Amino acid sequence: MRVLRTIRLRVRSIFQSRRVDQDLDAELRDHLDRQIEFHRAAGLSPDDARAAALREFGNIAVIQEQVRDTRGLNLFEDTLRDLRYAFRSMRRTPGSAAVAALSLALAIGANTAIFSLVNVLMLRDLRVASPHELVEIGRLAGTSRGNFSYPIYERIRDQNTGLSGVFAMQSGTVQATIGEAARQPVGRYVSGTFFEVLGVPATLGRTLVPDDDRPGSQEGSTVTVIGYGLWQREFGTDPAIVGRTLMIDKVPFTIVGVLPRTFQGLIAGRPDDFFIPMGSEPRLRRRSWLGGRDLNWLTIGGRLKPGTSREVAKANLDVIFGSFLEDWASSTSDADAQRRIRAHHLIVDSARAGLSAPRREFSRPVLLLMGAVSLVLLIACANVVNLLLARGMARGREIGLRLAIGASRSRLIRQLLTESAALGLIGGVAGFALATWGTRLIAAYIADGDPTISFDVTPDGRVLAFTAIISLGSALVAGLAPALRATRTNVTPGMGSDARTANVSRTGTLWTRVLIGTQVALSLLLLTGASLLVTSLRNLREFDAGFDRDHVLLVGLDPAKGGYTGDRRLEYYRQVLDRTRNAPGVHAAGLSLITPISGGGVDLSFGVEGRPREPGAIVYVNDASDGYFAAMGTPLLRGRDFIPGDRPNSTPVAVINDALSRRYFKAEDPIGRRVTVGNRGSLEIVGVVANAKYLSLREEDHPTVYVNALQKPDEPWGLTLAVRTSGDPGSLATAIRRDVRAVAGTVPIGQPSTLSAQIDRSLVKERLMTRILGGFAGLALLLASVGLYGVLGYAVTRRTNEIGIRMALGATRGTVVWSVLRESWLLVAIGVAIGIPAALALTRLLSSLLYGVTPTDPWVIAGAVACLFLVALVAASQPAWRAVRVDPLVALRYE
Amino acid sequence: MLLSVTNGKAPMSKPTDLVQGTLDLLILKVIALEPMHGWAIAQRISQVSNDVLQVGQGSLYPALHKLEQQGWIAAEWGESDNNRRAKYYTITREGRRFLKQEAAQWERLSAAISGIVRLA
Repeated sequence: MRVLRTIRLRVRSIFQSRRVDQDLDAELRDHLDRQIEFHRAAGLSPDDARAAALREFGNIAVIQEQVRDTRGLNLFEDTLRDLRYAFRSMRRTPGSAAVAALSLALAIGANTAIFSLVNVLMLRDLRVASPHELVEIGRLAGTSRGNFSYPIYERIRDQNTGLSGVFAMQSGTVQATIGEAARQPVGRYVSGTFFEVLGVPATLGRTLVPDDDRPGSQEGSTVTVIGYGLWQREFGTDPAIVGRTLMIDKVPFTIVGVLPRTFQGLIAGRPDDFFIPMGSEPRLRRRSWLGGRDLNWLTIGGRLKPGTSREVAKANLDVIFGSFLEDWASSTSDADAQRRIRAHHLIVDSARAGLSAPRREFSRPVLLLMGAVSLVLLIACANVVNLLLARGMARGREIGLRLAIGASRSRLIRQLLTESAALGLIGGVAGFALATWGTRLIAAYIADGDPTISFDVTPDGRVLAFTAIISLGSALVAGLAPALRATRTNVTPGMGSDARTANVSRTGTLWTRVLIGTQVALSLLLLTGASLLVTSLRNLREFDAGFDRDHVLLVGLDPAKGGYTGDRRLEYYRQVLDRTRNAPGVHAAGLSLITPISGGGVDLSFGVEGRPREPGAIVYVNDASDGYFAAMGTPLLRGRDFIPGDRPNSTPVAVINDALSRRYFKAEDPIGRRVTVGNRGSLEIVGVVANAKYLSLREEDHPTVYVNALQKPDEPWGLTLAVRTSGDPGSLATAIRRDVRAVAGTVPIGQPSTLSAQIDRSLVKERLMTRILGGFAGLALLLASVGLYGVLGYAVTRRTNEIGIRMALGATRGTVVWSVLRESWLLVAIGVAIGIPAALALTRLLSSLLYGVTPTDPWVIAGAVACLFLVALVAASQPAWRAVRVDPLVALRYE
Repeated sequence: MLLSVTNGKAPMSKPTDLVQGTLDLLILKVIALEPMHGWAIAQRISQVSNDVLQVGQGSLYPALHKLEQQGWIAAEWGESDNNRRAKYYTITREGRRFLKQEAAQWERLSAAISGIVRLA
């Protein structure tokens, strides 16, 4: 009963507050009247009675406030009222409110976008059962990380004690073919235990089970489970999907199930369309890799047993792996190889957010971006603080009045903070909307045209919480100092009519200067970082890498798949080379196993005949045909290139690069010497070519041996045709493809791509960072210039009659303009003074991304400083214009 | 919470802080006898205590409204003598129970304090 009454009262006071206030008013007035009567009855005159009563009564407003306070112990009602007031006062000064809200929106949008990325890469758990129990096992030799072979997986699966289940997944991909699909499905081999260990159920049909994995059973193993996306895209969510066929490399696979929408594989950004069991591998690969102990093509993971920690599991795995390595090492007599084998060890990482590869590749740049974008937020907050300070001063009179009639300071501060919170709210909502667009843009940058890369960046609860926290947090932090300042208790200065032109306190100007200075310093930091990245990207794209980047077309060929083996294979390649060389627009053509910066390579042990084996002598190895160096534009330095006359039955020959020649032959002539590479037998060196980058653009020139690709009748891998064109290589793609297909229609031909595109793909991290950091630098400049503009404008307004007096006393327009400009440049100079040491200290964080430019390059910093002065000039132009147009007569009368 | 304690008819001397809730107790007791409006409550308290306790409007109305919020008393606009509209406060049933509790509490407290103060 009591509760009901209480609720009814509260509801009434929220929704009928005006009525309730009038009520109280009437009640108090009635009380006053009775008190007057009382005094009259006691004999005082009407006036005296009234005066006495009023005196006893005290301050009505205060009483009303106190009553309202007891009523509104309810924070909710107060905040609502404050919000309404906040929006009303913002509407009165829409300009500055809009600038503040917009600054926040842009900065919050940028922050949320980057955080979404961080979320996807590092924070979001896989949608599987108990993701925290999942681990990924990695193989390390020194700092380089590698995959595992199937035999190792089997041993780990059978012998381990710390994991309740182990799975293996192909680290590469398999392609399926669906008729005219725009995007061909991409999938992977997985062990039969995969779905079981992960705890992923099928939404339709079944998932793969260990039985599917028996390599023996022919029928049982050509089954596949497809992803929800593929089901939607290419099968129209056909409910009768189970039993249909998916063609993989001309082998029909039966679809046995569909996976849930929430599971897209284990690698963030690379969703898998389908999964096939390991057992099907021998049917697809001519020579199965399942038995190869040193064919490392698998990623291994597992689920920890309940109560087992990663360390305990790792200890057990170390033992198993150790004995495997020993078995392997003892099978070779090569001491070198033995040492390399034994140098491996295991690492066990949590896999709750998926496998670590995308994290390892992108986490550093993304975290750097997160740091950079928080600087942008600081700049925006500085704008908000400045604006709120100015508004606080403008409302000095109003606030002073309210304080004087008894409003409590804390109440006023609460109200001012609510205004800041309202700004934060608007900024947060707008920023969130901007971020959804921005995140999609960034995801597209990362994908870089590759249809197999796609990040699911739909915002989840974590991102929403992040946005809410930073928008409210930064608004409240930004609003605190101005609120405290505006409600200072020495209110008299604020009340006078010369509040407008008054001595704005020295500390006020100091604050503003510090804020602008900080903004400029932060902008300098971002600008320097972005310039460094732009410069280094240009360097990466233009330096001499040992080959001609711009005129090479690459086409992958696999004659073995088309039935061309042995001599027919060599004959096929010969024909392809002849035809291509005769095509119009082609300067040269050659074949190779590895193309530069393709992400893969071969390295083998090396020895010079007649010399003792050097331990640890490793060289890069590439199989190449005649014409390859000409096609790549790698100059021949000595001796001769491969020729068609180098056949399988003639002396096996090799070409080495300059680095190898210097390293192993020093001043001697290497031509004619014999060397051994891996287990390929003895090769005679016939030529020396210039150094060319092999695995990555940034590597040191590494000794490389080129083996003649057409001297071996059979290799399981296809070769890539490299074509040097006179014009744009892309324009010849269709023509060349057609020519090659004409040689033999059954041989699969890969999608032609240009060497420059391939190299660009390896630079995706650098390009991403450059674009995004560049965007942040631009945003920072925009925000800082807006802040600068605001402050200068306000200064001009404040000092209007000072300017008028000056002009009346004979100051020229030039002097006035200069005084505004000088103020602007002074602020920038302060910022630059703070910013340069910061830049020198912090840009070294970028050094792993830079190329050809040091983090403290003076030209870059000078350029950034010059840019800031230019921006300050632009920001000062309108205020300067306004200052010049001050009419001295008007200004003087203004006082 | 300020009540002013005066000696006789002298104007308000230094206000003394009394225990929070004492005013609530006084108001509830006064209203328990009959429903009254604000001014009358203040008058009654002052009368019965021989002007020792004088309740200021600044304390009375906040206290009244708080008691109303808490549900111990209920308010209603009504006609007073000579047809003037006034807001009358009545005690609720829960209010009576609360009053009994608080009154007992007060008795215990004041007996204890007196016991100590009267020690020779």
